[in-house]
Amino acid sequence: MKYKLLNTILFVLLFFNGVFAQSHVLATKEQKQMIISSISEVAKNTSTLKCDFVQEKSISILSEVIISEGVMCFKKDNNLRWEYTKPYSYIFILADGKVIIQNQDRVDSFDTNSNKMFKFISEIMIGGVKGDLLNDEKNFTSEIFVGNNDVIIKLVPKVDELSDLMSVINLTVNKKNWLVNSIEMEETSGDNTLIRFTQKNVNATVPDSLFKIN
Amino acid sequence: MQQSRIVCLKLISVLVAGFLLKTVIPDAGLITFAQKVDNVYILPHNEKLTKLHTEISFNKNFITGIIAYKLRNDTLMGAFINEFGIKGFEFKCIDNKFEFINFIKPLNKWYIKKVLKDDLAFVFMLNNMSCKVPENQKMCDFIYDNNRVVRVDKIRRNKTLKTLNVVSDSVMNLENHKNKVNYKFCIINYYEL
Repeated sequence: MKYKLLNTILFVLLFFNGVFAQSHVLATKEQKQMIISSISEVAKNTSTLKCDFVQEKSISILSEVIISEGVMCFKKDNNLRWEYTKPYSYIFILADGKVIIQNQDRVDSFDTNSNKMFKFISEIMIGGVKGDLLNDEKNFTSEIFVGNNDVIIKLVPKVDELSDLMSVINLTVNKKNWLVNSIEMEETSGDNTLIRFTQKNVNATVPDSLFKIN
Repeated sequence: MQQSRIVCLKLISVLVAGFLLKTVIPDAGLITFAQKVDNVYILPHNEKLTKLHTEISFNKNFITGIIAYKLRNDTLMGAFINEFGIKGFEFKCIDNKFEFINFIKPLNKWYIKKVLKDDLAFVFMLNNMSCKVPENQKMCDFIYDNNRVVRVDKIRRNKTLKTLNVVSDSVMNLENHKNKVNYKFCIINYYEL
């Protein structure tokens, strides 16, 4: 009986310790300044970034998660190659203010400003990778929550065009290297998209040819 | 005598069977016939998740993404999401009715919804003959090749409004002739279904 009670207490303590270890608390003003400067410093010293990603889209009416995978390459200043390899090939390139999309056998190119949807997607992807969405006070209100190993930057869109698409964007940033671990986009309907970045390679050689499609 | 009678009866039965088969099974090659159809589905219709790579083009514009759908409690539920995970719309098909549940605000225009609804209803519920058209004018033209549907035309008042071309078991294209909208569908998880 005694052992059972002890076990229960031990379990409760361990469980709540685990819960608290995972929890995030609102950053103080000092913490916020420190986080912003750390992310900016890393972004300043990052010329290129290459990583794999896994995208999980939850669809509540189907009780399903649609998984996509791919490779992301970023090169300063604003060159981005976002390539899906699964479930099918789809390449999104942002370079010199233009978007190029290769969707299986079809290639399309257009100015980022001509398509609001792609303009916002580009800004979120690049801002998410560089972490500078935090400084985008024109488009977002932000809050930072600090955890043991990471910080969560909660961004609420201010402009209608963005808030029509999503209600909240959560960036999870690793406290060790101040790189973005994941981007989570919550829709007004409640469904969300989670993009996790793995195999991050900072300042590796990224050829310019990756931002072109012949 | 008895034997020749049996042979004769066998011959007659073979001829009758052959005649009956000829009237039921279409000849090889393309044949066309119009009929009121019930429960004809070109796309998979089951409780497993079907993922359709979808391309919708109109004028010089296009949208691409995945339509994911499955049967849930006899209701076909689905959603269209683009490659980045942004959901365009959700829909359900129940009792021969196609309904949108959610629609992304930038696309939430009555004319877009009207065209999409009519086109997707045609693709997902080819048995949907229940629109407000007199019975004798409701028509779908099914074109078969070796007992496989290769084309379906939606015809109203002798006009072909839409054509669904079934390229293969996993690829099909829909042309909306009236509104000049084209759709390409490809089942990306065909072998899992």
